[in-house]
Parts: sequence; C-alpha cells; structure tokens
Amino acid sequence: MAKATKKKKPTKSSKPSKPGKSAKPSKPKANGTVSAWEQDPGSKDKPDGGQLIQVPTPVLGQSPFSIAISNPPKAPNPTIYSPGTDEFRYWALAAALTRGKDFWGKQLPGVSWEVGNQLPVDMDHGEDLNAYYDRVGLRFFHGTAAGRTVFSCESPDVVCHEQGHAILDSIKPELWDAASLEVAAFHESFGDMSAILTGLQVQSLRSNVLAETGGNFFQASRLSRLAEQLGWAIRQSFPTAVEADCLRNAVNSFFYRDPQTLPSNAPATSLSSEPHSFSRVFTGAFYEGLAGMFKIAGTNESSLQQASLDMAKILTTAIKAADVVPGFYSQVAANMIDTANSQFATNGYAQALRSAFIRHGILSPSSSLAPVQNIARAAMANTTGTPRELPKLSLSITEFGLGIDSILVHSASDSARFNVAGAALSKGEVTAPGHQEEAKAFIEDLLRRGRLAVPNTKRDARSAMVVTRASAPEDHQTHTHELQKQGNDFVLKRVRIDCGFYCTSH
Amino acid sequence: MLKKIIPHDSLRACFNRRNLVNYNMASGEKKSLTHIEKTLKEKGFDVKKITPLTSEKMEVHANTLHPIQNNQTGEVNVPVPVRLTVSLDNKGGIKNIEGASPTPEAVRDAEHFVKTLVDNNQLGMPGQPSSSHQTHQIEINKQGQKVLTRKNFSAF
Repeated sequence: MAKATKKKKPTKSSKPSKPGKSAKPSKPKANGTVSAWEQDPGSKDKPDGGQLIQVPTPVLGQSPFSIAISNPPKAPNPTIYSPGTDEFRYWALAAALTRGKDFWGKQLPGVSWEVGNQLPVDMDHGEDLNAYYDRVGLRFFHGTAAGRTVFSCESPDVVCHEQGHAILDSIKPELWDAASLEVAAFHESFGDMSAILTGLQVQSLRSNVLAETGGNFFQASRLSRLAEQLGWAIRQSFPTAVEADCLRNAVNSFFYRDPQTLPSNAPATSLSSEPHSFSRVFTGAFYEGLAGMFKIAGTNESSLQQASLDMAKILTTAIKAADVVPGFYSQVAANMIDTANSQFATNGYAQALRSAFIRHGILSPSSSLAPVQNIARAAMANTTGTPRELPKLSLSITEFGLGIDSILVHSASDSARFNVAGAALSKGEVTAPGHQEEAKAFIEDLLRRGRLAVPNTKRDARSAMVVTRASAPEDHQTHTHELQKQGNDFVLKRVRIDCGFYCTSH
Repeated sequence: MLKKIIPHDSLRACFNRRNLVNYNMASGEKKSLTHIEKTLKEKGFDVKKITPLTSEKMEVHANTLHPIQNNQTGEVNVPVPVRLTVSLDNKGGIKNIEGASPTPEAVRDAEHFVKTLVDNNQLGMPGQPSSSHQTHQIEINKQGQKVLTRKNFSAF
C-alpha cells in the first residue's frame, strides 16, 4: 500500500530538467521502495505541489497485463530518487503503470492486451505536451512551457489515462476505429475514469480527498482535477484550451447534447464534439454516480475504495454489453444501471447511477427505467409578466417511475406572443414543444436536477426512483418543487426558489 | 452440418473477433467461424463480434467502409458500425445478410466525426508526417480508396 510522504518543498522538480539528464539518488535507501507522485506532480493551477508517496518497487513484467518499459531499456536501481531526475521519472512511471495494471488485472481476469502479451512503454518519445496509446504501446513526451520542462510520464493521471485506452481496447476492440463521436469521446472518458478509479486504490489519496472535500465526494478535488501539471503547461500557450486548474475536471455540470449539434471545437468552458471535450459529460456523470455509490457504501476511505471497486465492475460489465451505436453513452449508462440492479441489487447503487445519468442528461428519466425513449428537451419557462394562476393541466407521468400515474400542473398554455423558437446549433431552429410535452419536459428537468420532492405513496418501491443529488446538503432541504396532495390529485407546487451557488450541482 | 459449427450449449455465447479461434471449440467449428468471418471480410465487413441467435442465424457486429464527403478531404471511406443478421445454409455457408447498410444516423454521426477531426487538425493526409495530436490518418488502401484510419488515442 502506498504511504504518503511529507510534502516536500519543490527543489529539483521545480527547475527545468533536460531530457536525458541523469542524477544520482538523493538519499539512496535499499529498502524496496521507490518514490512517485500520488496523483499528479502539479496541484490546481500550479505545475508543482503534488503529493509524493513511497510505494513498493513496482513489478511490471508479470501477467496479467504484463508491461515493459522499452525506453529507457534499462531500469535504474530501485530506490528513492528526487523529483526532476530521470531515475525518479522512471520509477514514477513504473509505479503508475503498476497501479493500473494491478487494479485492472483483478477486475478483468482472462483479458490480455490487444497489442499482444506485453505492452511496451516509451517513457520519452520526443518533444510534445501529450501522450498517446497507438496499438503498439504507450508513448509519453516532454515539452517546455514557461521555461519549465514537463514530462507526461510522471503523472499517474496521464499514465493511467493512456493505460485506460489500452485496457478499453482490450475489452472492447471494436471501439478502436468506429467513426462515431460518442464512441471516440467515451474512449477518452474511460481514460479519465481509469485514472480516477486506479487513483482510488491509493489509500493516502482516498484519505486526502475525503479530507479535502469534507467527505462530500462530489466536489472538485485533487482526484477530480485530472493532469494538473500537463494542463498548466498547455495553458501557458493555449489559455482557453484546458480548464483553469487542470486538464479536465470530472466534477462538472456538463449536460448531454447530441454531439452532432455541437460545434467542432470550443473553449474548455463549453462543450464541443471534439472527443476530449465531449468526454467530460460521461466522466461527470460517472463521478457523480460514484459519489452516490460512496454515500451508500459508507463514509470512510475504505468505503470509498469499495465503491470504486464496485463501480469498476459495473462499468466494465456494461461496456462489454453495450451496443456500438451513435448513442453509445446511453447504451453504456443503461447497461450500468442494469448491471447495478442485477449484481448489486441490495446496495441501491442503481438509483445513484440513475440519478447521475439523468442529471447529466445521458439518460432521460423514462429511458433510465426502460431505455427505449429519447432524451427530452429543455425546461419550460414562464416569462409572462402578469401574476395570475395559470390553468391546470393533467399530466401523465407514469414513465418517470415515481409511483404516481398523473399529476396536475400549472401549465404555461397561453398563446405565444411571437411565433419563435431557439436556434439549433447545426441549422434551422428547434421545434417548439406542445403544452403537454413542455410541462413534461419541466418535470423531467426538475427530476434531472434533483429538485423535485415526491411524497411516499402506496408504491414506495417505485417512488424510491426519485432523483437525488450526490452533493445535496444533508442539514437542509434544497428541492424547489413538491408533489402535494390536493383531494384525490397530486399537484406540482413550487416550495422555494433556491439560489444557492451549487457550482457543479445546479 | 451447422450444429458442428456452433456448439449446442453456446448458442447465447458471443465470440469477439479476438477470441474466435481461441474459444474452446472443436477445430471444425473454429474453422467454420473463421470461414464466416473471412467471407464477410471479402464482402467488406470487418467483423468485431459474432453472436449465434439460432442454429441458422447469427448476429454479427462489424464495421463497414462507407464513403463520406468532406470539403477538406474529399470523399473518404470511414468505418461505420453495422449490425448484421446472417442466415446460414445447411453447409454452414452464408445464405443471406440483413442490415448490411449503415443506418442514416450512423452515417450522419460519421460525417460529423470526420468534420470534427478536420476542424481540430486531428486528421493527417496521405503521405504527410503526422503529429501526436493527429489521432487519425487518411491512408490509401489496395483498391486505391482513401480510408480513414485511427493512429492513436491521445491525452489531449
């Protein structure tokens, strides 16, 4: 098990390091351990400040998922080295690779690399701010930004992301060359999910994340911020290409859009159909689902590890079962809920996952129960100026699985003053929904955002399907609407206007 | 006979392309599945997964090359996922293939995919050196067609 070491004041690690530079061990200790980064050399928007840990000397060559670092061809003596040296980088890379190899090896018995028996790894393939997996092996690079040389092989986030591509290629090789936006984006998301899940096998990281977030896992943290140092380096030249404090953040509020309606590229603050950008939708839902599963599993770091192990099983089972179609995200999501229902029926994980996928728009509330329907559109808005009670509309909501067949809602059923509709991103305009559809979309939106409280009904099992937010405070209520009983009917009523700044939770 | 091709107790089993010949089957059965894969390849399908449905039908997940028009690349053939229902004759050969054409949705997806690659400089042209950020390359196949080929998955 990895042990956290004291956070050292950056010394050599903060100075530019030339590729190929060699250094002697700073404090050689032949105790069978090496030093490595816990999660990333960088911290938030800084290129350094990452947590150093000591781990047992990595063993890469054993099956399953045997790995060989082919460049450099010879391993340095395994001992404690200072960051900034080639020797440190070698063992930091080996430690990250071992972390992923050990984790996925237990999760995927009998699976072997798509590239063959052993995955070759090139620690420094040349100059670039990048890393990639190319069905030959993993290749890492070095690049200079603001006078500092950054090596992508040092970051467990980057290493386990690339290794994640190789793992996914091993369990679902048909995704490799499918010309599909969601398939390509899912591959990127899996890389990030792999970095998160493998990171959670490090005890010190689990403890540090829980301490950093006060136990509320669905908050930005060192775990959710992926590849801070590489993000910093890219940001020096392309400030809008990456997020403000990392490469990508798994705690986000990105909501699913048909990628065909998105622009090809956009600043990191927006979604585009570019695979890395669009991957954040699935990763965000995954992370929120994991947060919900953790809430169920317990409150301490060992519960967090158990949730991560269960999530990995759910995820890989679902991926294997998912059809490769343009709507690949929803296929995986539906299969994840199905797997959670069948393999973790007593845990209640399915509800946590369902909430997360609905809140990120990957599944509609109805399709999350029976994944056959498409995702509904935007929420209803009341923009009329005169205060008055709007007419009530009876609405069937059976498909939402709340245990209530129909409700009364105050419908915005006035005639439109202007016959206009919002513009679609590709061409033309979106079709304005009818009143029933619009009201239903509003209910659905409340459900997605976890803002609808549903009373217990005689069918409690079904009303348990209400969507909850993993980040919702436990000491006060934040739902904005309730279904209130009036006579024989349930009526949708607003109970509060909540302007809380839940940055990532609406 | 077909029953020799597909083991009786594995009608619901899936055979991924990678383990078609590794599965614990009799050599004749392996040969037959490999023969079906080869025949489908000759018809332009890159087989990814075979799922026996009945003794006479199997579902095949495959990629097929489909021509896409793009302003920058011109016509380029891209691998588009298809789901085939393959009927077999009594000799284990292919009698009929349904679902051979990609769905319109899959074609639109592929068109946007190519456009996204072009717009993000992630697509290398034939004969040109590629950078690590170019995840795809257009290559010329034996038939002289321009084919979209993935080169890597990158971190950024």
